[in-house]
Amino acid sequence: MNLLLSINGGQLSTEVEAGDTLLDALRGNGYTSVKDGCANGDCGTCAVLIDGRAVASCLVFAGQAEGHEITTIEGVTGADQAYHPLQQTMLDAGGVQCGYCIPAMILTAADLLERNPSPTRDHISSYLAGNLCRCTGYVKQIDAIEMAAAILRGDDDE
Amino acid sequence: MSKPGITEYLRPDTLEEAWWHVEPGDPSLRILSGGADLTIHAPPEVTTLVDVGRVLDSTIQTMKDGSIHIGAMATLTDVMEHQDVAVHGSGVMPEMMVHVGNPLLRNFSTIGGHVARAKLSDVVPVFLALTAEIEYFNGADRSEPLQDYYDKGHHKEPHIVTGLQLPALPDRSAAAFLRFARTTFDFAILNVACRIDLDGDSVETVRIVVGSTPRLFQRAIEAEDLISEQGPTDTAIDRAGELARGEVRTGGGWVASAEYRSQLVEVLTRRCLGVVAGRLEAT
Repeated sequence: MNLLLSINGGQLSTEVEAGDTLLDALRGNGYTSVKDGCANGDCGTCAVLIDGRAVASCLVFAGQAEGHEITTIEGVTGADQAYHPLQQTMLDAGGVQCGYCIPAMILTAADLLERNPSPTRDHISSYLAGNLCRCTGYVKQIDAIEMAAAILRGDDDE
Repeated sequence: MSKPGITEYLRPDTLEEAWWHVEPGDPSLRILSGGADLTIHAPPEVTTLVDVGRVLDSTIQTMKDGSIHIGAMATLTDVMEHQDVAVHGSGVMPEMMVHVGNPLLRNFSTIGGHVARAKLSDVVPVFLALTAEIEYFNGADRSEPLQDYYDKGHHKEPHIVTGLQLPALPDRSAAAFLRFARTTFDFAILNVACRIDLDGDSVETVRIVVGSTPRLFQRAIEAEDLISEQGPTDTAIDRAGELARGEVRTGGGWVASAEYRSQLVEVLTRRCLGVVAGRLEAT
């Protein structure tokens, strides 16, 4: 079936099978930052934003995504290709090791900070419950999200 | 990964059109709302999905009488974060919901789909403790207590869940939810949702709902009756835990034996009622 998907502010007309997930549709159209980790809703590496909320794209049929705004990691980078604060602080804090989980983790964090600009470390940890990382132990990633939250709040401007 | 058995994806524009597909009760067809369950656990006979996302309401509204209406397409996150739901029943809904999967799941899973799937659940016992009503369409609009929906087997008949209603609670009302699981990610080995309403010094309503026994839920009626008669005193709460253990049938499996679950019934019921009693004192 044919779908018209809204991805990162653009429109994509694509042909999918009835049983395709959003993960299938995105990766089949070159959005390989959306990782095919477990395809079972456990690892979170396939997370994207749907209407601003982080969702495991392997748990969504492609047809369900039509009519919603989908954002992948490419969509959070500024028009001038400048890194989003979450991308920059993830690098600055040493939160990126193998990098496989990072696009999804940044999107999940972006969702959190949009709704809660001043999360505690416990809030951040709780919100990352669906994003598995086998490298870092999460400490530096939580540091990075705290740093990004401060930047987005404008704390550095005071 | 594409689900190989799924060959047809239908997107009706009206409830009536959706019902036209659902009414025959074809076992190869499933209603798709959130989809988390179907993407992972679609039975092999399922070939056709009926996506009701365009048809059903996702809003949450507080009515003039204090009740709260939740559209079937509201996500678990919507329910968890809604300002009125969050304080309804002394905040039992977010207290429970935070244990359901993780944000990536809760952000797209719908309350209608969750209730209709009728499998192991932390959500259903809490809705039952709050004496929720369910609304569904089966050729006509229907509404009934959620408990009847399950007890009378209506959830197994062709229908489309359209919403849930949480009745208003009196000023002196409190609820609580407790669960026990091996890890954060696991389904609960057992859970308990309790609620007590007071009218002056007398007990007006008591609900003790035990879930994951591994049945979806069972009410501990004898324990409820005792608390109704004696109030939530320490002695009555201890005895209510014993009564609940005696009346709630538990089953065993690879996660826990029936006897282990039975002991959990007593402990969690006692603790849950204790939390409710403490919250009532604070009202």
